Amino acid sequence: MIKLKHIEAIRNGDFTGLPISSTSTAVNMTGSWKFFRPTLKPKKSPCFEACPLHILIAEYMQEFAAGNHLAALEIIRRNNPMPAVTGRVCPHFCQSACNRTDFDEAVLIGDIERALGDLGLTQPYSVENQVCHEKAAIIGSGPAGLAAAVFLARAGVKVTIFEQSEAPGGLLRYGIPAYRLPRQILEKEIKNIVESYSIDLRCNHKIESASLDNLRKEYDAVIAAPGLTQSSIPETWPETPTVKGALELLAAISRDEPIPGEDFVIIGGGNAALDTARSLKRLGKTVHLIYRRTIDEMPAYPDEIIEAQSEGLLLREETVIEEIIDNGRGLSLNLHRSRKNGNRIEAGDFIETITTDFLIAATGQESSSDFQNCAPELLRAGDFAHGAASVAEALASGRKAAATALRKFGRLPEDSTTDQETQNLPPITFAALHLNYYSKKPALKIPQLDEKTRSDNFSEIHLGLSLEQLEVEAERCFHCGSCTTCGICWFFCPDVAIAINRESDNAESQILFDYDHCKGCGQCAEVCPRGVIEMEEDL
Amino acid sequence: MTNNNRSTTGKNHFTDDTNWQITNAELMESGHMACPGCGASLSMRHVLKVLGPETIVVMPACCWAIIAGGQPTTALSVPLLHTPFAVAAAAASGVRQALTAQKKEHIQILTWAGDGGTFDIGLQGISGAAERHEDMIYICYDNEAYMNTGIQQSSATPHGAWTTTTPGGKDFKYGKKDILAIIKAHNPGYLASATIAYPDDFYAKIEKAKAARGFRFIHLLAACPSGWKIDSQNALEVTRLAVESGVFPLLEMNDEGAIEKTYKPENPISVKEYLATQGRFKKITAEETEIWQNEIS
Amino acid sequence: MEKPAILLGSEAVAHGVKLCRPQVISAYPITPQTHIIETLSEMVDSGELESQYIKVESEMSAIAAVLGSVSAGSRSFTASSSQGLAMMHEILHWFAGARLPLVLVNANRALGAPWNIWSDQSDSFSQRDTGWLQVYCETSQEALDTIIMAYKASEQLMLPIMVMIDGFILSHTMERLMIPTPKMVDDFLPPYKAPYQLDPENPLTFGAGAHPDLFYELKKAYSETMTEALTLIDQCQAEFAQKFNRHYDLVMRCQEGNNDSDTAVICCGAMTGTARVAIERLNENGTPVDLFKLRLLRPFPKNALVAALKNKKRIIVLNRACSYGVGGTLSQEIRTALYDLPDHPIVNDVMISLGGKEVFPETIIKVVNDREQLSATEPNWL
Repeated sequence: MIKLKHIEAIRNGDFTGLPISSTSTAVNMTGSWKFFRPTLKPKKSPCFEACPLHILIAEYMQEFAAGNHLAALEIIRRNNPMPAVTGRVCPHFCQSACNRTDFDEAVLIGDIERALGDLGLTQPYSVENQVCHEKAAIIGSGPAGLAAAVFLARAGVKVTIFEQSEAPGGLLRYGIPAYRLPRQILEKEIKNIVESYSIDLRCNHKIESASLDNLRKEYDAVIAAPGLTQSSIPETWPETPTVKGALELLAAISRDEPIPGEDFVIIGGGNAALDTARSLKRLGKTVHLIYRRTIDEMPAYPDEIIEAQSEGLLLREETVIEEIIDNGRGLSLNLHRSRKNGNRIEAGDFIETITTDFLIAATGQESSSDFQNCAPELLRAGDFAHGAASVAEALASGRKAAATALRKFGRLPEDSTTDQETQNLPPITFAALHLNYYSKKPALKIPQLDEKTRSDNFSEIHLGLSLEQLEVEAERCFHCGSCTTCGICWFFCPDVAIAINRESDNAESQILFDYDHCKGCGQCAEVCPRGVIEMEEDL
Repeated sequence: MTNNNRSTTGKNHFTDDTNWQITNAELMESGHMACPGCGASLSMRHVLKVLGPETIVVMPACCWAIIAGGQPTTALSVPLLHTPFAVAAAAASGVRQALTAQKKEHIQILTWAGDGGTFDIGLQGISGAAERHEDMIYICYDNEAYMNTGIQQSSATPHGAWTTTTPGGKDFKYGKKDILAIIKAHNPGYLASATIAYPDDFYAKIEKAKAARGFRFIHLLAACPSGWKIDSQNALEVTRLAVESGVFPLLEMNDEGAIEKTYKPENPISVKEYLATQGRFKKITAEETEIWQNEIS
Repeated sequence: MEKPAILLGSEAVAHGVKLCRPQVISAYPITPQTHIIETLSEMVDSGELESQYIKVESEMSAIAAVLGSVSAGSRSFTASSSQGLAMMHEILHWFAGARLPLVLVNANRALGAPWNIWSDQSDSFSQRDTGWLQVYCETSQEALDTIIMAYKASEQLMLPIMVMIDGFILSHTMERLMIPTPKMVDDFLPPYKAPYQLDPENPLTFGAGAHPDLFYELKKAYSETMTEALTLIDQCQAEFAQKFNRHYDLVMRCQEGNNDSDTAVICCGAMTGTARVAIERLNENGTPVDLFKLRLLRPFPKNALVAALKNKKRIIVLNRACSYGVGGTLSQEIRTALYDLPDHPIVNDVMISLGGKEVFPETIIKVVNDREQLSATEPNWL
């Protein structure tokens, strides 16, 4: 019988003359077609840039939204040792810079920080066991002093804080009213810091300039962060017990001291002015706030102004006091309309004369310490070093002072911000984001005590939301400039040339471009919501 | 993008508002022969993700006949039958009937053809298959011309568009054939238009088509960077603008058999803006643009 | 035991198909094939044949539908004729290139214009180069039997086979024939088990582009399988003869007794029946003439033909299809096959009929009697 090769091969299933294919096209190196290749180029987010502490907000939002609350807290704590405090009293420069503002509303970063801060009150700070080589003394336990203490302690430095008052916190305790920053929150956060880092906190221990030299001999570094703890009273004002500084009054209120008098006039437009006014109102006093410029020009945080107005604060704008007459029982004040003379404000037309029990100056702060003229090499931090500023800036200043001290010790301070390359670039703008696949979603509404309920007490106004509720808010974050492995690039790759490895610890290796098959079409760069992918020439 | 995704933050609305999942399993391989930025290859990738491995693809002459790769390679991990130009729907009918005879009704048949193979040369066979209610999903990926042969006009080419056979722009008297109306007349099991630029809508429709029975037809708009004279990175965005301008509405036949929009642009853009994104509409006049705008409104 | 029956040729074909149990049938009507699919439709409707019956909208879809069903691993059937077969042309090429098995019955009919529904072989001869095997049947019994053998051969070769019956002459004519029992056919023809098919368990791509070198290799292999097909069909016919007691050959001599004539007539299809009568009368009247019918046109059974005709001085080829400008298509095939013989016989190319022009025994007797007047080089029109 004639052997039929083909027929036998067909029968045996090994015939090769068939037009069938089963080898994957992946053997084709179609990546050779490309002229451009996508790369991951993380960028700074505007919130990161705006934050004095450079907290990696986009990063912790991602962890938080995924329910990893403690991981999110750790990211905050890397740069900010006091999130429960800043979550309440920081003006949130981050939110003002938020790109989402141009889309619908800014992400409520502050409220998320606050909730995480509260979570942290029961979470000790993680402390690496380091051999303590050096000792540092810090003067003042306000935000700057505490931040300096934390960042030194993290580097293994043994820290002693000298606080002249009976309790730590500085302006946080004696300047900011409890309805904005409840005392127990502040105390818990400070206690957590002090205990976690074994800080030697010595209250009622005032350091005079005379004892500085001894201190500098005893300690390897001394950081002065005594703050600006007293109000400056204009020189033209009479020296009389019915004229007081706002900070002194706020401190007395915070110590629950009795406040005599029924009728108060406060001069100023900053936070101290508003804090004093609102505190006095809560004590049942009649308060007039007088500001020489318009309300819009007030340096106080806008939210505070709005809240104060809703609480019925009597506020006279564009008004100056031209004459103060001490009439024995109180003061008579001649009020004039403000008049602008260039940048200066002068007294214009007389308005009226009013009387009051007390006149309160909230027009500036000064230091009560006498370190100003001490050796220039003394490390300074906080308001004492840079003038009155926000809590976040004070914390940043303390951290910077700690870093200077560490460098002095010949050590490299840990830098937890993004890498150097992105530092020099401007933060990513709204226009650079690709938000076609986002839908508009307004920010959550944060409940607060209504005006009536809060009018006669110091209960915290903002009630906050639970962590779980806030996860929804965190999902609104665009994570500008930082890859979240959201997968949009992967989804829209026509060449199946992007892989996502979410298990990878290294952010750089979570998005894997398969350059053997990527044809360089560039669609991934065009859809990346966060503007992280860039096309560069394929050489 | 699966649910175990730890970065569910920044959820784009197609993972946020819908409850479907996108599988990581790829049934379309890399190394295929599509041009950079090809909308047809991206569409195939996701259609197969929805339909899954129990699918047989039947494909006539079209760009994808090349994209799928030459012997001994193939870009698909599901069975694929290449057919001559006019007969994909008929060949798919045969595959379907064979599977019925073999009691393998659960396997999906995907007939995957371009606009030439659907609007023009394949229309008769589609009509036959639709009339017989052949149990298959027929997807036309419409790149609005014979792109594989080098950009010649088809009856899916919009009026005014440049192609190599309409060097002055397709005569404005002849608009794009209303393929959905034609298929609708056959009483199909499912009928919709979609584009991958709207992933939630796209996935929802492929899912619905998968769940339905009988002859199911989906008209996909798929960008062709070279044929539309656009940069490859803009392919998706231009497709999106086709929808935002109303030039390519996202449609679906409802239970009553009426065709309705599944998406209404919040802030629609003008036809003029859409046309300006593409080199192929360079020669269109202001009057023609206005006529087009009025056709939509 | 086989059963005798009196059936139309179309019905005989349908019975042959039924015995082969195709899972899918695609159908589009065209005269004179229509009775085949009508009969199958009734068989499916009554349940005597379990098959998916697709009523497509054109012949192009008819052949494409079975392209799909065979790719999916199901034995399939379709039938056509004339314009319909011409419309299938593109897919006939594709089908063969795809290396898929199929039996297609073509009821031979002329191609227009002008319109003509009657029989000639222009339609199938026009498809010579598509790669299909082509078998021409003389009788309805032969058609029925050939279908059974064709499925067997086709599925072993992974090549499609076209089985020809003459329109009207066979399709519309009653004939007494034997219908094998299902068991006999089942024993001869096992169910189709595709060596490769569209199957998600083993995903393969069918018909992807082949680069020139690979394309050439595939076509070379195709050609080699075609050569093997001659042997396989021989074997198939032998096995069939053994089981069914009806004998078929690639080239069949239609004369009893010794072959001492130097003239042979050769034709294919149902006209062989008419030729048998003519040759019998010629031989009775002292004109020794031999008669051969060619069953297989593709692959061309060159060796069998040469063996049959090697001692002849004259071959008269009766053509029912013309390659205009050359002559009868069958004549060209025969001439080419005989070229290697050292002493070429004369080949008379006779265009005996087109478009159903009636061929009587007298027509053939006259051609043979006037053979000296026939041109040996040019086509001879009557």
